[in-house]
Amino acid sequence: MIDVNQVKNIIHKTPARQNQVCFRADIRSKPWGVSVNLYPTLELYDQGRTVYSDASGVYKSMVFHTGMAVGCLEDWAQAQGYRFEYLADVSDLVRNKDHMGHWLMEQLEPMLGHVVAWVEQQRLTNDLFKNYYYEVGKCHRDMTLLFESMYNDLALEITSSTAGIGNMFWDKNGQPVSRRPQEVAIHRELRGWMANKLASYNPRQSQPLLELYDLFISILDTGARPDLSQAQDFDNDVIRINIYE
Amino acid sequence: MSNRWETFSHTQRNFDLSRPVPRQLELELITIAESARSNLLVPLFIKDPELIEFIYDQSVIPTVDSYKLEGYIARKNSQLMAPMLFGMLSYLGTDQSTQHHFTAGRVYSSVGLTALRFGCRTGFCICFENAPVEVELRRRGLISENWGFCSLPLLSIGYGQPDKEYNWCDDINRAIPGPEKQSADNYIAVI
Repeated sequence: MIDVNQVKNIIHKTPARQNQVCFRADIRSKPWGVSVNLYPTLELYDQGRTVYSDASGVYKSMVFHTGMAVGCLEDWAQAQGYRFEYLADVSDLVRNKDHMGHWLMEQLEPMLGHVVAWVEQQRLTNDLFKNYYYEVGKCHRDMTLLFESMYNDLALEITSSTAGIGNMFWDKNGQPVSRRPQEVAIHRELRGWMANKLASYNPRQSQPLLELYDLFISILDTGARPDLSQAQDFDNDVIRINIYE
Repeated sequence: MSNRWETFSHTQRNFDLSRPVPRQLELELITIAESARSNLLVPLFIKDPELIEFIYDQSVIPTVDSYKLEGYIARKNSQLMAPMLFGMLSYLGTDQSTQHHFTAGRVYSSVGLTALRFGCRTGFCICFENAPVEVELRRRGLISENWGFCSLPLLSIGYGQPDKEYNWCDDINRAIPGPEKQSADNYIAVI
């Protein structure tokens, strides 16, 4: 098991501008290792005693030192033989659906019981369930594995009806139709459900998740890669990393 | 196992200028830094003693920060007088996102921790006048017109003087203690 206090110590020992605090961090122990979130901030730097004429420029220095902390954690993790995963780069998440799936799974894990209940309810009322489950299985591999381990009878049903699912993507003339509108519809529905569930969470934690999900849906819908080169709203920067045993 | 993560220091006020950075270390650092080269970030290594002294001459601890330093005295930043200075320079032509500052941070930590593996010490300095240094770097052909420091520090690398503490300043003949960092509990939560 990864020692969370050691992780805390590595973060604390990272060199910082004038030895001040440049970010907040939270560390969570997980069955597979450790999850760390880092939030660059000016709030703690110099205990707020200085008023900056260029707060945006100084904030970039906070982000720089947050990057240093991540670099130190990565170096330490690799020296221990752990796998290190950095999740904050939106463009990387968008390019790698499996990566997005794992990250999304991580966020949904506490609420998994509600997800399963929703799926089961949909199952009896429309074919959207089969489509959703198939698409979830394709795009979110980890979620499928967890579903299968909890609901073996559902997994068997999906396996046996693979041919039927395939037909859902052909029109009455036997011509293939794009899966994309169905994928988008499923994810929009799930996004609405997630927003309701996350309403009681700290917006600093929930908002980036929802924004990333919107980005993912937007790319599914339009096929266009968004421009990520513009300056971000720096109040919402959060860097997430996972360290696996 | 090396405890370099615990000894990675923001401050080293004196360096043994008679001891250059080992060539093998220099090559490793170049490899690390070059892997991060992009259209927004370029690495820069400085070993020319004359240029390093010029940069040192542009560093005066701002009086606005004087209240942070117990026993503050006007001085230049002796951390810059090192065998090697490293920095990542940014493209000035567009309003960049914070992403490349984050990327630079990861590179600096990789460079610094690698230096520690070779027994070197590290110091960081952002308190130097960027404009005259950038002009000088351009005059020497080391950077192009649209590149600058953009809130990124210089990282000093070298061997500390063996008979002196990290905070001893040869130029003013006294030790300058650094500020104490807040307790980790104040900003790091274990949930």
